[in-house]
Amino acid sequence: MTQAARFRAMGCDVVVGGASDAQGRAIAGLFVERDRIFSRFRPDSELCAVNRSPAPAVRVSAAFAAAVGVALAAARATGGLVDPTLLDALEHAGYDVDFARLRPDPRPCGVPVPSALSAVSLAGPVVVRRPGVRLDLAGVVKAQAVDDGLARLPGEGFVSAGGDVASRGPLEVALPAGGSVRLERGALATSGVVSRHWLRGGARRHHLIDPRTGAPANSPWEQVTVCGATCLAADVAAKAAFLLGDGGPRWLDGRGLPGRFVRADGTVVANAAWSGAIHRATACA
Amino acid sequence: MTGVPQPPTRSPARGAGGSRLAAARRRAQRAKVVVTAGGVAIFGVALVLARASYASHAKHPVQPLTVPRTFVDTVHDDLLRAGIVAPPQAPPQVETATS
Repeated sequence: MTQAARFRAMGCDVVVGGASDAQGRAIAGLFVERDRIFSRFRPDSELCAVNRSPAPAVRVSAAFAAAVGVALAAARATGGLVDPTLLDALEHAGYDVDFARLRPDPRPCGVPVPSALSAVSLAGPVVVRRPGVRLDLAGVVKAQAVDDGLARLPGEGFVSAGGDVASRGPLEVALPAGGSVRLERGALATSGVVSRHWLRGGARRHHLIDPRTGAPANSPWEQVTVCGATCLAADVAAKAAFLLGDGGPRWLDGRGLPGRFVRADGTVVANAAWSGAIHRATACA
Repeated sequence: MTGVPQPPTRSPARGAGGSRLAAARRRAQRAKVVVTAGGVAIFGVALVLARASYASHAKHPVQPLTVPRTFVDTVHDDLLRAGIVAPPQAPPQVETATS
């Protein structure tokens, strides 16, 4: 496999394996372009322009419309758990500047903001929403960029962005809290609160908002890793499983998705699909 | 007092003719109303029968096509397809973790 290319985009480190220099540059350009469109911390991004607009219907670019479509599909597939309308709730929890600039804030959190998912729809290239509803597409954009980056590789290789990994061909992947696994096909994504948390009002807050409460989720898990056919599937499922708390493993099993859960004390719990995949492969070896 | 009995006095010809004419006009008017009302009624009945029996007429309010809920769920859940993991066979090349 060709030497891995590394660059930084979307606030995380990106590693591309199996790409030529030109392919690596093309994938880096893809990430930069997505960041330019979807960053909520760049005033010139299309996302910020849409969120600033007072109009109930806004014509958007094809890339933006596609991301909104994916976000709404993710919301449907998870029963509304992965929700693109929780930006106000996220900011009320304290995540209102770029994470690198986030500092402990003694002020209390704002009032929890409920979901406005039912107030958003997509009609071709037009995003329709109730005035005042703002979007945050970070929940799907990075994973989609990983999938799109992998699609630009002509042969075997992988793309990893901030721990979301998609591979064409077998890939050995280190797991949270120790251990590793062989990714035979698809992608692995991990969601959790280990690295993206902050102090607000004297308490630890994090970015995984529960749409049922409009506040950071109270989950027994620190990190949830899911294996999906695509990075988008893995990432969306990992977020939903995290938000579901103790019901997360069963929810993943109901969809045949292998999942691995890490508690705050380091205890690792694998759902039946994960355990079965590992044991079946061991038994066959 | 004697006298020749007189035949009963007839109403003037003009008055008798006018009365019959007025009666005929009334009958004609009633007949027109009856014929018109009957025509409308027959048209209405025919319209209803046509809507109820002719194949191209919609017999119920138009509704979106419905599909079984399980099919809808399957399509929605198709986003969440599983990948394949196996035990490690070599040292890890990359790491999955929260970013």
